[in-house]
Amino acid sequence: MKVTSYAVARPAYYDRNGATSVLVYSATDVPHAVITRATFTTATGKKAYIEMAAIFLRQETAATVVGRSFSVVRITSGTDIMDMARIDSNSSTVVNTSRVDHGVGQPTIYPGETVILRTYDGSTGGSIDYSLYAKITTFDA
Amino acid sequence: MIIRLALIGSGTQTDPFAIDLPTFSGVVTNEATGRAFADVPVSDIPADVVAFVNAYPTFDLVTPLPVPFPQSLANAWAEYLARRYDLGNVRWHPVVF
Repeated sequence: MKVTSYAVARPAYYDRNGATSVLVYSATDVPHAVITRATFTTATGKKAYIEMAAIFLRQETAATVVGRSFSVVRITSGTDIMDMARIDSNSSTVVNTSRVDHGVGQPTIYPGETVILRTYDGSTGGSIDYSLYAKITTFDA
Repeated sequence: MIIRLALIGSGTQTDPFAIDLPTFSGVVTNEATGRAFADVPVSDIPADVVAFVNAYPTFDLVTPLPVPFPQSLANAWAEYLARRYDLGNVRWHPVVF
């Protein structure tokens, strides 16, 4: 007996009009206010996965006076905030001091939710080399 | 496409400096002039805004545009984004600056 099914599996997410968005901030900066360096917003009818998120910081020139510096890869959902990767500590008077953080998991970003890269350095003097990344795949919901 | 845009915000944790767009990357700012370069997906920019940006190229974050960004283009861009993202009352109002 021949058994036939017409049921067809739904294509994998990356085969449903998958498209890549890469959020990047890569630069050496002196102390600065809180700045949103990149943003991704999921449109209606779409969903997205964050497939990779990472932050690499390196003290390029020594801070004269150390201060709080933070960098985040942040997900916002309405009023809720979740940091997928975050470095929040003091700058350094030692050149080439480095700080690294990687996001873990593959969170889904629903319509209206955002992914944000943000930096801040409250030091006096000095500079930090920033590399923040998020690789996102958007697909039909 | 890299565009020079007006900065919004005040640089605090609750109101950071930012670009008034749903999606962008690689922002470099000049808080004193209120300008920033940002890499914006071409699919988020209407053709007439692309034409304006190409007609008036910018090379720094200080020198003003020779002509202001027309309000009609600003309105058209805001409507274009609202339709494209279709997120109810959520609105963006980017300004080439």
